[in-house]
Amino acid sequence: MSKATFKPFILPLLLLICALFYYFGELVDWAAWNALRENFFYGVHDIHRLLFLAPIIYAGYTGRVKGAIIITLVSLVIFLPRAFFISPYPDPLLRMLIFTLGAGVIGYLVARIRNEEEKSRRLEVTITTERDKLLKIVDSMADGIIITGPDYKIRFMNAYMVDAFGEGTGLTCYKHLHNVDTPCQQECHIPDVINNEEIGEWECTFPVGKTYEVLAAPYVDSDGTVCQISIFRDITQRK
Amino acid sequence: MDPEWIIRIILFGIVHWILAGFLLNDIASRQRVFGRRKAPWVIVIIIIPCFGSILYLLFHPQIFHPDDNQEEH
Repeated sequence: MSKATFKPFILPLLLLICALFYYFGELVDWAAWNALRENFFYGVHDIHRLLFLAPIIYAGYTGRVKGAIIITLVSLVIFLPRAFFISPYPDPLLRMLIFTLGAGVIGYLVARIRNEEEKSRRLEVTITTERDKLLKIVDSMADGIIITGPDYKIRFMNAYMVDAFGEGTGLTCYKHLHNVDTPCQQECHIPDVINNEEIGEWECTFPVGKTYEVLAAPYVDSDGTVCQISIFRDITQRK
Repeated sequence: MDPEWIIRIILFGIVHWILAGFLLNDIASRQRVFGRRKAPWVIVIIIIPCFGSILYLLFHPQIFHPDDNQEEH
């Protein structure tokens, strides 16, 4: 049998156990189980009530705000007979109401935390789906796309550029594309694009023998760094 | 009537009507209920204070698992 089969029985069972424990002294009296007679079951029931936190918190976790409120009210119904008719101690109703209110607030907070957790999980799934969709579009483009950081390191290459130059994410653009050890002195437009936020367009010939028309624009990456996004169009045939 | 009894009745009434409100709302939004007919459940919840609501909860525990039973609503 699966876990889901038992799920609906957890709350009623918890409440039943709590109620039996709460009225155990009366049950012992009624059934004349003298061997089980303990002073603990006939004292002030403030400690006994604490057990009800378990079903209230569980209800907040699974049934959210509505579940927490309903189980708090059901617990109140269970507390009422003792407060009304049984308890010989002072202010039984007031003590019981204060506990119920506190337990209800705890259940409500658990439900709110769970709601927020669920909301952020759904948001994460949505963002991941959207990102995957966008990457699929970018990868299926007929032009190459490269995102380069201000440190000249390649942050992203689409499938077209990977096919043409090989995977170079994390490497410097001058080393990976031009096979040189320092940034290209005349051809490089990264400082203009990133620092001056200019849109640049130029032609670039690479050691692999291909010439590309490059269109570059500033782009703010997910970490807030201003980078350069470049679109490469192969114009070798035209040349 | 003893004022203490009036407080007891009022408190019991408040608890009953809050519970009934939640559960009548649940009945209204639920497509299927135990026993197929909603009217008897509405009567049970309203007529039998608190215990009618507890009875409804016993037969509809899915109210506490909204994630598993979204298709029910």
